[in-house]
Amino acid sequence: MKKHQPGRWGFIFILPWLLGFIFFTAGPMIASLVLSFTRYDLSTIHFVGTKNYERILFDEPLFWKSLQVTVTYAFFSVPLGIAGSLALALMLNQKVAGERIFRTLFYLPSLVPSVASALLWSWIFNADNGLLNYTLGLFGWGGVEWLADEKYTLGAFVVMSLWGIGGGRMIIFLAGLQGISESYYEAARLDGASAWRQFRNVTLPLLSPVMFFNLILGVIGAFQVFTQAYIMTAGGPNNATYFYALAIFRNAFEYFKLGKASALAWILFLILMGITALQFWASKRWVHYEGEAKS
Amino acid sequence: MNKALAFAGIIIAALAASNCTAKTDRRIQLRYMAWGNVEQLALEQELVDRFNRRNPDLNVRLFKVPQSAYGNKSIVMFASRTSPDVVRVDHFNFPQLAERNYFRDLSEFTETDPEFDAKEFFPLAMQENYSNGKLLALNVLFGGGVMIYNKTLLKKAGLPDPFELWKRGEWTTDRTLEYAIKLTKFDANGRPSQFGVGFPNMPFYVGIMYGYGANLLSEDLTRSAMDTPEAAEAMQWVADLRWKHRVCPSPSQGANAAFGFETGRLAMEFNYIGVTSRYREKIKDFEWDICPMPDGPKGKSLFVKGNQLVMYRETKHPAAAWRLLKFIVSEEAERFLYIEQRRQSPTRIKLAQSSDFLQPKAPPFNMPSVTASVESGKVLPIGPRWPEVITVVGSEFDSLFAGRERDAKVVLQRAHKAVNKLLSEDPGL
Repeated sequence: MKKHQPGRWGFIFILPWLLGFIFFTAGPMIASLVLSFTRYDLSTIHFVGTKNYERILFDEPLFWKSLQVTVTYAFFSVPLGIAGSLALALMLNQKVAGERIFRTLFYLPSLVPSVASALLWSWIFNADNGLLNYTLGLFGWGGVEWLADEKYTLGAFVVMSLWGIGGGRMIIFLAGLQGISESYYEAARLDGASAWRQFRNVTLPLLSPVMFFNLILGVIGAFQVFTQAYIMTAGGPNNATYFYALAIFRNAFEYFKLGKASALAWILFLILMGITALQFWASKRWVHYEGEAKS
Repeated sequence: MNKALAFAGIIIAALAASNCTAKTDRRIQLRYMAWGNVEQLALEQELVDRFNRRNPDLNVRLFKVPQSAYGNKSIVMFASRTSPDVVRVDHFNFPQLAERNYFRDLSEFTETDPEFDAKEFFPLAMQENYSNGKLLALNVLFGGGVMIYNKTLLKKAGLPDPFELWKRGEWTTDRTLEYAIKLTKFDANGRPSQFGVGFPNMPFYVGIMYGYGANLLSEDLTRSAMDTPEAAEAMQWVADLRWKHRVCPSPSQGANAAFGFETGRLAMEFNYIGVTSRYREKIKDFEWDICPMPDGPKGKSLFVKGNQLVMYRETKHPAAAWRLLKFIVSEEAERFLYIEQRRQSPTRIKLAQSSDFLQPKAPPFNMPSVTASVESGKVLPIGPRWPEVITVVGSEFDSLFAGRERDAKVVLQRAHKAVNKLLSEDPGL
């Protein structure tokens, strides 16, 4: 009889997670893949081949609209969010009195539940009595129907996304900044590098793996925006905030088209896989790992 | 060791005790699911308590779900076969759910129970309960929309009482517009300080369409009916209230209840009678009352809509569930809900025509305004694909209501095409 069976014990310890993954993640994923080839309305199910995909890709203007809305949102909100989080992390990385209090204060907004922050932003964006228009009014601007005029609504959502710049992404940047050895900066300063050159040639390259990580998560997160659109605009006005996740939700739980909703989810999965692969390919040009030699 | 044994003993004793309690409660357990604001849920609980007191062999528990999650929750519970025995369903969702065979046919009870007589209910209230010829529900919180008006403001402006005009057949959309214009005021900076009328959202604009002889969908609900000049005229009237005559708040002006009726800064509004319980409590500094929706050029704008009380198809206690259903539409329950609390109109003809309902001691006093809808209103064009239809219609109408497109005819043509395309497609894909 063997006294030590570390492999077996290891397996036993990870078994709860493994079972959870099989039954609650992999299982539903496979089920949704199967469902995407069916017409399923929660009571009857029929195999329809690729009809759901054909319908979505070739005969569903709202699919392209939701994709356009989501891509546009991601295009603006992700870079702005990353830049904002990085700027905040740089500021909060300064050695000043009460730095921990500042970090906590800036992190607090990200703890507000998304439903509550959506309602808060509804008030801020109110065209007549909202804080934003009031502030703009002091400079002679304002009067914009942020949530009622389709020209501005998506922009309002991008602005709203900046609410989260002090959250997890900022913490990751902060951790990344604190992982950069002070010796690089000392060497740069001895060579006469200005603060900007230090940032440009030391901080950014050494922070690029963290930035890459945040970029991938940011894009995936942007493609999953749902709560704010569901609560604040219900996808309107005139589908200007008809985000992709809202399209999936509506098809599944309002129209009972679970087969089509599954197909939409798998198309989203493929899109995200493609974008992520593209990001990995492009990362070779701008992501620098410490100790790695670049030709 | 001893402590561990003692702890285990306590746990086992507690489990045994709870098991004994469950076994000694021989009452049939029923669950009833409903949604509503705090006041409505308190009334539902009161009804359940009354029912439990009168039926000692049953125990009904009220299963409350927030309104925002109710639709999805009920769908998931029906589909996963975990639904409560009795469920209140909004009529907007009823035909869609009925098609999926989640509800038990009630004919087996209504035809054999000597205590139930369908003739005691308004035909319109019964009409909403049918799907494919089967009686699948009983109607609750049934009624039509009304107009609520600030009597004090109207008197100050020297305008005759709308209810009196309605009785003479003179309360029309033209007259409503005339009133709204006279009742809209601006401050010295040109900003509105008082609006004439609130915007008629869904389903009130469908009522206006009825008055113009139009509808959203055909009678059989299979195609759009929005390509008529009457539909365009009706929706133009609605949109012009906001963007041409500027007598009702824009979406942002109306946000956060800045011009809510209770503020006294809105002279008239389209709403349901259910809201008046709040007004009775809140409004102390002006007089108010109700009148029916104004007639259009082609007839009445009266519409009706209720909620459906359904029995889950796979309930283990259908006879007990039927007793609960029957109680919620009983004379006692309707008297409590609709005469004492005035949440909507009674579905029972006798109660709706009783002096107790028609001659109340607190506002609103013009209760025939409510009876008018349930007697001669029209049901809304809600079919199994309503959620999709209203999403398409809503996204087109958005541009009209937000003032981006001022010509209703253009919007209706777009909506007409989009709805017809939708309804011609395979409903499952």
